[in-house]
Amino acid sequence: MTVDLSVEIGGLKMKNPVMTASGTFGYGREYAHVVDLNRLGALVVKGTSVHPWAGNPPPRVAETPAGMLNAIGLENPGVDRVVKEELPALRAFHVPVVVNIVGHTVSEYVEVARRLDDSDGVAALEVNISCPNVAEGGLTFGTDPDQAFEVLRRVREVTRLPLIAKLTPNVTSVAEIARSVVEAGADAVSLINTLLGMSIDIETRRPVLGNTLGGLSGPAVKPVALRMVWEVAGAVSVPVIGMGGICNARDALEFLMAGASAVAVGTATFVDPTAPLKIVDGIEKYLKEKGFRKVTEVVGLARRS
Amino acid sequence: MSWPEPEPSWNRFEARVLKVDHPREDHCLVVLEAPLIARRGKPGQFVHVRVGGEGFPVLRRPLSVAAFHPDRGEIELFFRIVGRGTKWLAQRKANDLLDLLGPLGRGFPTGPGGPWLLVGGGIGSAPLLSLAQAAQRRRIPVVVLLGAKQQAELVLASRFGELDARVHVATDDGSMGVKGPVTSLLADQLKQNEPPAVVYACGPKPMLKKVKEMTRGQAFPCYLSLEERMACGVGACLGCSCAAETTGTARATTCTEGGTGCENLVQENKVTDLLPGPVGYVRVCVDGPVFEAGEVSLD
Ligand SMILES: Cc1cc2nc3c(=O)[nH]c(=O)nc-3n(C[C@H](O)[C@H](O)[C@H](O)COP(=O)(O)OP(=O)(O)OC[C@H]3O[C@@H](n4cnc5c(N)ncnc54)[C@H](O)[C@@H]3O)c2cc1C
Ligand SMILES: Cc1cc2nc3c(=O)[nH]c(=O)nc-3n(C[C@H](O)[C@H](O)[C@H](O)COP(=O)(O)O)c2cc1C
Ligand code: FES
Repeated sequence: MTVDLSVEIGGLKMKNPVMTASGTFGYGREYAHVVDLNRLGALVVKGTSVHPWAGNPPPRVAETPAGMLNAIGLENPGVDRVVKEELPALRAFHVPVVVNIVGHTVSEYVEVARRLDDSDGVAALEVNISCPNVAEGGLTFGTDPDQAFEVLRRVREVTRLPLIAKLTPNVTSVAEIARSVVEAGADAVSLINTLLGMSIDIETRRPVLGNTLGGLSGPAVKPVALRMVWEVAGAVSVPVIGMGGICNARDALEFLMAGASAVAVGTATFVDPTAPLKIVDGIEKYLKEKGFRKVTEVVGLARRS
Repeated sequence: MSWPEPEPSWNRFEARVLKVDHPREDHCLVVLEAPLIARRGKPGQFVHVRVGGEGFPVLRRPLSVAAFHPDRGEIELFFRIVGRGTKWLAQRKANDLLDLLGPLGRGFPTGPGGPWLLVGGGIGSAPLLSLAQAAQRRRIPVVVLLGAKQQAELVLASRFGELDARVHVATDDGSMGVKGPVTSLLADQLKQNEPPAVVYACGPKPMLKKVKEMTRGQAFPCYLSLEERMACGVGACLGCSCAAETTGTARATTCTEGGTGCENLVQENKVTDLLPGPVGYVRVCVDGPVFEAGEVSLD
């Protein structure tokens, strides 16, 4: 008996619920000869801005207990070059490509979305609202329900692509932000982005990261991520994409049972580039063994009273 | 001088440990059975090694290949035990399997002319050993300058000595060779009548910085092998960035021919103004780890 692994996330059709996490899988090309991209549910590419962004000074990564900190600073070559140089190669694969978009102002988000809406080979946009709002003194868009609403509302106006709002965990009530972006027109939400953290080298007596602060990811964040997915899935009616520390099928199934309709794998691919595919296989095996016919049957299973 | 052919076909390997040797308490030599890497790898390339078994620690560890033995299908890794990952690696036993990605990165560019002048500081001598072996195979004369804190740390000196290379040694405490930094040996060499055809250096950043200064404006090229903290090791995460020299002649790494707005950059072969920040960045894992000294800023 075969099990149906397909899911639909706010209009984005995927053959299975496993995606790559933005910023951890480049543009796919880096891994295409060792990972069969066609077997991914979706490929999410790096944060993309209107103009090229240089990123932060090194060091940009640091290992921490069961996790890592990164302060890449969203280095990217800008939307024009992504459209011209990266997306065409991906059209050779049968995998939906989701572009993660970033901006320093609302109008920058709008501009990237507009250009991507015009481009071939983009299946959906993931709006990364974990960026500092330059016009508002650097406060992160995603930590304020009104600003998060504004970004999604304005981006919604310029695109008919499925819109996924990527939420930051660095807030008091993630459910409140989730409700706000859904009201603004998001078709789905994804979470969590990285948790703000830092680390200090006691020999040099300086912060390890060039940027001082960085984002924590990997197994260390999984329980927090799972709790937030649980809260958000209970607060909104749109599909939720869960991520944060997922390393194997068991982790992924926990997120699905908490109410996520799909999952993304990030840090784990640094250890094992084939982790996303192993997770697809592992989910399928579990579903078969337990007699499920569709992956959608386990979504939110842990929530039933 | 030409860069080695890019190696698009890194792969993931289970490599069998053949031998683990501890020439010194905090140094370790691991011989691995890895035929494809042994045959295809180039001096200066590295492998990204998974440590700690299931799950922890999280990240792989980048290690240069210190020697390639294509005939036997073996490679050697030579490292200093500095933390959890290298400690775990040093505890491996013969017949254990190691999970590695490789061969990775852009190795040392080479040309037919000699002599090659190799400058290694501390454990930085590891990737230079494979380069000295390549020179030997190609019958190119090599001069090797090795520096370390003390004699005991010059573990690879005997390996260089087995080759047809002229080896000069400097130690901080004078326990072997000249007392002083390895760059003082370099200064002596550069005063000689016969200039080197090329200088290759690997070691701590302050040493590389000095080598860069000393070779600036010379008729021969100088190549440096850099280290930076890495996550993916294959160019996907932008975690291993090093500032590109804004006034130098770094390659426009994210540019391919004909990209919008970067044609002139490719032509001029500069990264100046490639990115809007104060500096552009290059990725040590795929654009390097070997760079022409003028390409990178070591400040
Ligand atoms: C391309 C390249 C080639 C290298 N080749 C060699 C070699 O041949 N021999 C050798 O002894 N060392 C080499 N190094 C340095 C080696 O990677 C580190 O010593 C090693 O990762 C330390 O791991 P650890 O767990 O023992 O230390 P920890 O300090 O516990 O490591 C913590 C984290 O920091 C990273 N890290 C710590 N020091 C370094 C460093 N110097 N460079 C990069 N990452 C670091 C680790 O990878 C890990 O992610 C190389 C580094 C690079 C980038
Ligand atoms: C090196 C690195 C780069 C990242 N870049 C981005 C990015 O460009 N845009 C984004 O929305 N999230 C980015 N993230 C966050 C991940 O997509 C993901 O939300 C987070 O890492 C949690 O998942 P994980 O624990 O599986 O890695 C990045 C994470 C890492 C580790
Ligand atoms: S380590 Fe990921 S790009 Fe170099």
